[in-house]
Amino acid sequence: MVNIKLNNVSKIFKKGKTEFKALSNINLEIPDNSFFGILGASGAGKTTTMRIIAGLEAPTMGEVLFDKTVVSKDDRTIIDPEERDIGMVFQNWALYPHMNNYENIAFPLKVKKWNQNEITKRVYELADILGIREVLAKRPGEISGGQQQRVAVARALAKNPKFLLLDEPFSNLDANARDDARALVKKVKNELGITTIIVSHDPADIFALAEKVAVISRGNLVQLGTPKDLYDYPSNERVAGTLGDINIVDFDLKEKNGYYDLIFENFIITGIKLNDYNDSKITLGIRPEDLIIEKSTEIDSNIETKYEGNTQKIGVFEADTVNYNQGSFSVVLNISGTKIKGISREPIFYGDKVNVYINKSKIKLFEYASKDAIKLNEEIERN
Amino acid sequence: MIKNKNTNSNINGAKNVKNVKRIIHNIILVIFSILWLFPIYVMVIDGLKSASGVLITPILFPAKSSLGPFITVTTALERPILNSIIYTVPTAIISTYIGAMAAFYFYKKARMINTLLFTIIAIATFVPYEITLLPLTKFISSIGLLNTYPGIIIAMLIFYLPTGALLMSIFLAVLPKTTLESARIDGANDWTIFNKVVLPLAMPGFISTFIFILIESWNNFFVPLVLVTTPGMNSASLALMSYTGGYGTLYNESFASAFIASLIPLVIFVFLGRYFIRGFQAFGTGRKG
Amino acid sequence: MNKNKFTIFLFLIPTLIFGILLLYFVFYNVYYSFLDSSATVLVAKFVGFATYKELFSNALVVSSLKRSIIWAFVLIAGGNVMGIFFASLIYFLRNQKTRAVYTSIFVYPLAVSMAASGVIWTWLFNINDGVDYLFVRIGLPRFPWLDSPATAFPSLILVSIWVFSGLASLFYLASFQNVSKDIVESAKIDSASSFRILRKILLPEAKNAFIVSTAIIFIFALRFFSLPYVATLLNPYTETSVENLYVLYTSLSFSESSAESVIVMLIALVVVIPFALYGIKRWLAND
Ligand SMILES: Nc1ncnc2c1ncn2[C@@H]1O[C@H](COP(=O)(O)OP(=O)(O)O)[C@@H](O)[C@H]1O
Ligand SMILES: [Mg+2]
Repeated sequence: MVNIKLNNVSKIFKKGKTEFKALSNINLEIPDNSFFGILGASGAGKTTTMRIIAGLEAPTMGEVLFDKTVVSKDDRTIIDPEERDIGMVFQNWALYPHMNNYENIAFPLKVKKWNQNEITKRVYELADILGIREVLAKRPGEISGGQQQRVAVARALAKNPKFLLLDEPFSNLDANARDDARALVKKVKNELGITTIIVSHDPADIFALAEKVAVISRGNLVQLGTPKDLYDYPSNERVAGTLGDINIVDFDLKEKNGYYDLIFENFIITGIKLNDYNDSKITLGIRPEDLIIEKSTEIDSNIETKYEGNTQKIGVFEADTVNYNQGSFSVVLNISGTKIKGISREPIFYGDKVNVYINKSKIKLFEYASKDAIKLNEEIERN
Repeated sequence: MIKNKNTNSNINGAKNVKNVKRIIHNIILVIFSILWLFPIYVMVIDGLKSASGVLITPILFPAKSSLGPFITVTTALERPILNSIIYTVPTAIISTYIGAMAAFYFYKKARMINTLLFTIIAIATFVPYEITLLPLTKFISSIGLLNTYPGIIIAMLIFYLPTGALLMSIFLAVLPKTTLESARIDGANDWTIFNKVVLPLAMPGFISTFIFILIESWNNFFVPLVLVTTPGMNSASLALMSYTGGYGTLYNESFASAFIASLIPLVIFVFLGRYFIRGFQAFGTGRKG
Repeated sequence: MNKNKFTIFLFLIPTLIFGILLLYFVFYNVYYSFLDSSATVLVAKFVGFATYKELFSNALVVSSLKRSIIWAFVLIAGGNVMGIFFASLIYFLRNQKTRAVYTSIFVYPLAVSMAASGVIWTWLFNINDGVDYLFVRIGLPRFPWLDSPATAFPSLILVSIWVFSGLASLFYLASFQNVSKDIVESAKIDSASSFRILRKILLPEAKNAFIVSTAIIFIFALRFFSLPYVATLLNPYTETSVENLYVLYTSLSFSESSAESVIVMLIALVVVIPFALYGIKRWLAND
């Protein structure tokens, strides 16, 4: 097994006279045996990062180390991908269409000149783990997407690589197959204990699998941490968006006894403490699940008894649009043209009057100018 | 769309005009097809004429058929056709395979210097080969291969290897890049990737290039003309020369010989013509695939 | 250079060797064209452009060169016109199978060797037994074809058009098929005539096809050797520059043959270089 390290890696693509900086000064360390995620929007530079680790591209500047060995450095590939001993599952799986699935999985072993018996044993062993034994005689074109993906994983694992790279391995699968595939990858990783890096634009992949995540945005490493850290404490507005659905709204600030009120039209959050904040506006992020919505009845229920945690009632609004999605109703409020989305457990219909509550401990505050996160201190949150 | 006020008769009228147009369209196609196929027609009917048939019927009309002329010319052309096979099959295989290797090199290395090399190869494909008459003859005779199979194959390779490289470059360009990269990740070296992944994936292009070169070299008249010095080494197209005819000769053997000498390329064309056509289109448009 | 980078270079070497050999031939011609080498000269010496001057004062050489160029241009015009004609006839067919059949019919002459075409057409042009037989029967005058100075050359051009129109039509058909089907369909719904669709929609997109077919036909035209050679056995009415090479070669005037090669090569390069650059640009642009 191996410890992978990226030191100050930058990648510049030149096309004719134009240059494009796909990665700038990435520093990363991927510890041995970990399940590491790289998250970022499409075009952020995830695949490029992975290709640099694999050796398919050389970093324009900076170096890549496997343990103490420099494998590529400053526009030079020192150890070619074929000698890096890695397994990789490409975004489109890149199976060999002219070989059957058995031959696909066996290919890396044939290249290594394993003997026939060992190859057969290994292929069947992997096929059993991944549940693709029945399709070995077929070609990749004759099996489902989910099965192709398993074949690709099996091929990548066949030679017992030092580590495994997965580039958006689930993006070509439908939702059901995706859940199964995630579970399977997790199982394989646990059984084989191999260092694994998964790249995805879908936070669901990361939450399901990764122990540690690097978030990349426009070629920059913007945050590093556990998935939960990142979800709850995104370092800026963009990371917050990358990790999941979030309402981002600019609020006016009004001070009251050392605390601030956040005001956007009639959407007002009270009692926020801010240290050294000098702008008159602030950007707030709130995930839909932290904006609780219920049907407004004549008798207003007492929220303190109903919801745990630091929940505050914002007021009564009108539901603008409602979508049903996997057991909950997402309700959109239209506040002077700005759409704010919350979640209700019970059916709500267009035009219904609704009560809106906010989970104050989950709000994310960003500087209005820079959109960088503002640390809320614990004491205030509990207020 | 049909406007509301259109009456039934109007619609019928439009339909009729359409039908008439379609009929004219087809008639034109049939007329030109007949014109284009005419040489095949005369090769067959006149090749099948007996000597007496030649004397009493004009070229354009069939007479009582006889296999005589075909048997005579087949006997005479047996050796040249065999020679042609010996000249062209290795030429086409080697040009396509080695050309594909060069194409793989260009596929992997799209750098400035290679653009230049690629340009040279592209231009070499279009050199009118007749102009190499003198140096080619001197070169082949200086290596002692004048009037030999290897000599003629080498001469053909000089012309068709660049063609193979150019065509295969066009076909390789459409290969899925990640599949080849995944072979690298699997630990395969370039030689393995070329033989186990690139060639199987590019097989349609490979066949297309092979057929293209086979037909072109089969019909190459020039190389054997200058490099063959004894009749026993004649190629099929060269051997045809003795059937050119003129006044007083019987044309049945001319047509039979033209047919027999063209038979192999024609059969290839009939069965694999779509590859040939695809190759030419790729050749001309530089389209990938 | 590491091991692998060297291995991949080996892939290029055989092609490179043969390519260099071909280039060497080209330069060999250039070199010899400045000497006075021939079978009767023991030690060839440098004579500058003298051989070229001589060639250009030789009426037969000049006329054959002219013929080559005329042939090329008439064939380019005829080939492109017939190519567009066939391509549009085929394009407006609906059935894929029928399309394929007609395409093959128009293209197949490429598979017939020029030597065989020469044999066939010499007979078809025979003024007693050939197509003239039919002409006379239906009351048309006998056409002299290869037997008259005025018609021998045009007759061969006709044969070459028969050979190459199909090829040109392939390029045009390819470019027509690149035009979005929706555009053509909506024009049809607007009840535009096929001729109008061709003129307004398809042909404007066929610039590439024109460039490509012109360049390729041009090169083939400069290569014309076997057809006139076989058809007429060096009939002076049809002789082209490429055959002249052969005449000079067989008479062993090496430098003259080289000089004429250089001229043909230069003519070819004028057309080929822009074409090659164009092709490469497309090749790289698609990357
Ligand atoms: N070979 C290349 N040449 C030029 N630009 C590239 C190349 N590969 C990637 N890029 C650019 O680099 C950026 C990052 O790409 P990539 O790493 O594939 O993003 P993603 O995060 O979606 O995987 C994109 O804007 C892409 O257009
Ligand atoms: Mg990607």
